[in-house]
Amino acid sequence: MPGLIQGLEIARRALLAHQSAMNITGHNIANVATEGYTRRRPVLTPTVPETTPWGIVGTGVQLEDVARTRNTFLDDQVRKESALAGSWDARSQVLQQVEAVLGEPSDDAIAGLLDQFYNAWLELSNQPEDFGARAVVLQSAEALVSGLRDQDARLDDVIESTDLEVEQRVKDINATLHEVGNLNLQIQQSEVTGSVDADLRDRRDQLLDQLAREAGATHLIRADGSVVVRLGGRTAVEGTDVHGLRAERYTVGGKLEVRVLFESDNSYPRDLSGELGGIISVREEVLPRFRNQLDGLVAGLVDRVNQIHRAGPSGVNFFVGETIDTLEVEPEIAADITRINAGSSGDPGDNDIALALAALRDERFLERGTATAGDVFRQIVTEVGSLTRQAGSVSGAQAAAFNAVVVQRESVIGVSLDEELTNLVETQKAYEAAARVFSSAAEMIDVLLAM
Amino acid sequence: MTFRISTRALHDTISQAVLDSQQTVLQLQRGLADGRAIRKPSDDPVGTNVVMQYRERLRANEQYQKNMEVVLSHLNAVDSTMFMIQEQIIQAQSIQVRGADDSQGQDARNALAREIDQIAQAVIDLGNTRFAGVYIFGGTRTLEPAYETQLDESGFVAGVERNPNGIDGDVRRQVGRDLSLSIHVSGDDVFGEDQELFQTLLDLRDALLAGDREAIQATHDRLEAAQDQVLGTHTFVGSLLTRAEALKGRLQADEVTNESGRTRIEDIDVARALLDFNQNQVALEAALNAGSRILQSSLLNYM
Repeated sequence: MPGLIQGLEIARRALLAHQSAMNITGHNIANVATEGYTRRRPVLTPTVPETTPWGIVGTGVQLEDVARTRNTFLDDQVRKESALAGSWDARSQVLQQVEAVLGEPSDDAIAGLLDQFYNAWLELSNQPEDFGARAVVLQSAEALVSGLRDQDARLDDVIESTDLEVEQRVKDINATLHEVGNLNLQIQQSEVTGSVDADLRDRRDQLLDQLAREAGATHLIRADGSVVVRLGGRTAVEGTDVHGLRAERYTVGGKLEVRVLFESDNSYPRDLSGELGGIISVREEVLPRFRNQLDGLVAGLVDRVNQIHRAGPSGVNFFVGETIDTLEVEPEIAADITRINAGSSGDPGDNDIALALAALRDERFLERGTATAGDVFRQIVTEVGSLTRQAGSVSGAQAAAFNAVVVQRESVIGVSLDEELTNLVETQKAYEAAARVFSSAAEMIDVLLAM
Repeated sequence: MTFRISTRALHDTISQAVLDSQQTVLQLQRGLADGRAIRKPSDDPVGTNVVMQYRERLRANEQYQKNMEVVLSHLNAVDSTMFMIQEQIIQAQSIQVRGADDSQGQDARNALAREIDQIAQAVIDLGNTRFAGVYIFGGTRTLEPAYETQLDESGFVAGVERNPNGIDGDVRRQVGRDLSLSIHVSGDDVFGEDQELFQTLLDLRDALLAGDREAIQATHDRLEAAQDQVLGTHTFVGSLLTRAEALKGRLQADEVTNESGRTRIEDIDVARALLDFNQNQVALEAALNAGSRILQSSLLNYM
């Protein structure tokens, strides 16, 4: 009799275990499309066997644990690649905007306007006595100025949107850091019983993925189940303590800049990576340099044009202003085009000044006498083009590397419907068989009782 | 450990492959639509550098060609003016020969003298020829007549004065990088530094009026010398024209060279792009076909 009762008990345990297993499979299937979901696996183990005079006899099955199939090594890989991919991708996107500002190669962008300016002087050199040719010179100079101004304004827009982006990112990162801090606490509280709270951990892993992409954050898992997040060379989250970032705008030399600091002590983060790092790298290294180069080009051009032009009878400079935002055609000239000098002698047919100004096209008066204005501008365009191309191709390669490790991680944590269906059939059959065991045991007890 | 393929990874991989393929096809389509291989510097930074240089040269070349047209039309104007001056001198020479003939009476010589005066006025007018609004023999004083005529009460030319401000100065036109042509033909080179041509004509007229055969005879060699002077300068103008025509041809050839250089780098090779497009389109179709079949296959279909 005890043996038969034992049979019922084994069958009952099996029914319970397989029912739970089926629920787990069901949960997996339900979450097949859930972002950040980690596949759960029922861990079935035999229950403690019974020692009987005729040997050690099994007592059935139990659901020991719901395993969360997570591999921290792959997580680290994914996050490392994600940080790099994010950094290059963000860098590439900002650079693409800068490149679009240049609008080259074209005949309508700055290089073309510069040539139109030179050509207008040639036109004047053909008809130095002509009023109309002077109007053409003025018009081409104003087109060049407005082209440069327009480009400068669009560059300002890129800088402004980059700064806004930095501020927004910092806000997002801080929110994420705080959420990780909260989850550290919740997980600790929830797992006090010793079992893993898979859903909370999934959520936290998702946030850690996000932090890696956004700012290149790394982390350590403590024995108590909490994570320590490191960001920009220091600890950003430990337990529930959070040290967030702060974006600050300031002006230096009349130019608006932005910097990112740690909120708590205003120290600078080191080696920020991820999207924020990518944006900041362009914002700090490329944009100001690009601006300076353009300003240098304009200052050099203005200087040389004025030097030649004021040698003529009107004695006035042609341009005023040293940088692009202050640049304009000398107001005296804009008001009276007869103040434009074509020749130094003042003879109506003298054109030496117009010729000298047109010859600036081929004169190396920039970069210590090594480059023409066209050379310098072309160099800027080529450099931005190279940086953009490099960022684009590295970003593409990084995205591929990232995708490869993601697929690898997915192979561990992802739900496969076919696999779950197989498990479902297995579980279902096991359940049916256990039910059969139960009814057989019950029949046997009936037989015994009927004796 | 066997490599599991999760349903999500399967979907992501398929959609990524399709998206990649679509992007390539779209890019090729855009290239085919506008014919450009370089749309922005990052498409080909090195190529952009080269293309921008070609474009710079083409824009300069366009203006140099315009300048060359200005040079050519100016020189042609000078050239035809020189022809007219030479014709006037030939006419004066034949009058001189007739005037020197002793069979001519004073009345006839007076008539010839009037004709010579007309010729003198015509030559001076030619010296003040304006082309495109400027005096072509006036040096850089392009808005002032090169020669001023004083007439006496009978309407004869009393004297000719060269513009006291001078008729010199360099008139240059830029027709290429480091290449400018001086297109100035000074009145001095045509009519003589002391306006010998005008003076000879006036002397001939006065000799005819005076009926002084000796004096008439004396202008013969001077007319000859003046004709030589004009001819010499005319030949120089002709050689300038020839040189300008040759340079014009070179500018046009430069344009063709630069344009073909630019298009070779900046524009797509249509044949190759079409081939690429077709290949990638096939790849896209294949990705879609395979993807849709993989997505449909599931254990569920058999349960």
